[in-house]
Amino acid sequence: MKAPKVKINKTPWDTYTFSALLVLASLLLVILNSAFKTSDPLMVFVYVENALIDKLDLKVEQSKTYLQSEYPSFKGDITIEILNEKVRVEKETSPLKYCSIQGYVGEVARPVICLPNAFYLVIMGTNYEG
Amino acid sequence: MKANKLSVRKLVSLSVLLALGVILNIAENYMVFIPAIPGMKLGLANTIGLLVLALFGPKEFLLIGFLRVLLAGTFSGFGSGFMMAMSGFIFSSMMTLLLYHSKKLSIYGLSMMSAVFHGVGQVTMISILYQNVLMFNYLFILIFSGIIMGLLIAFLSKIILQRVRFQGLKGVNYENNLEE
Repeated sequence: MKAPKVKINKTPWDTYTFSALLVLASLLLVILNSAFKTSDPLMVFVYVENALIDKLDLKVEQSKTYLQSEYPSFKGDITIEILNEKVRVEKETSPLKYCSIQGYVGEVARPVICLPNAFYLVIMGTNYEG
Repeated sequence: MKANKLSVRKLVSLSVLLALGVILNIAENYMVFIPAIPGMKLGLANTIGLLVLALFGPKEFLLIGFLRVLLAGTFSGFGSGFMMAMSGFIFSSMMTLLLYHSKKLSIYGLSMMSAVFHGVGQVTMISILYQNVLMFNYLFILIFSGIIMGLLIAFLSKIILQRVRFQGLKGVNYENNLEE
């Protein structure tokens, strides 16, 4: 069977696809925002290798360091900082440092992921059971 | 004899494109466009994928894409990053080939869908790794960025196909009615 040739110039189907993707992304945004809306006090949930290791009050300004000696998956110590009801990964060891570059996050259910360290944190309501 | 000569030319062209793909793949890891969205990339390496599809066809597209991810993995390690890249490649290439065979979309639509499904693959893999559906919260961001980046990459690929003379390659696999 002969392979079809790639069309180089735009077709109407490109416009339909573009529109469908925009609608899908917007719907997803609305659904996710309403799904994770909470009136509970907010906490920072800290996970290592899928296990919840800590819960911190988002209203209390603080810095906390998780030591490599306690968590073998870490490539170095990880320090997180809570300030003005936002949280960030202040210090970490990884080749690309994506999670510390990301900066402060204040949105509910938006994870900050440090992939090489198998570490992530997320802001959720107190009653969240993840 | 002539057939062998053509095969060597094809082999060399594919090897150069593969090398370029690997270099772009690795270089892009060090470019952060919007710090708040760590997974967002321009996807310059996808230009190579689109060029291979337009110049050689679907089999070569799959082969070069797979080897690109594998070779980039040997340089940056076979950890969770590699698993995400492989998952993104599988999702995006399957979707690209499915739509390519439907003959409806142009290079723009294919590139957009490829970029979007690369994000879907990555988010799916990370959700499996961390066993947490919260990771899907990144999906709408990756769909938005995939639309924009996909269109940019398609535009770039079209310029390359217009400007670079590929006539030496037999079996060029795109409709040669380029708008100037």
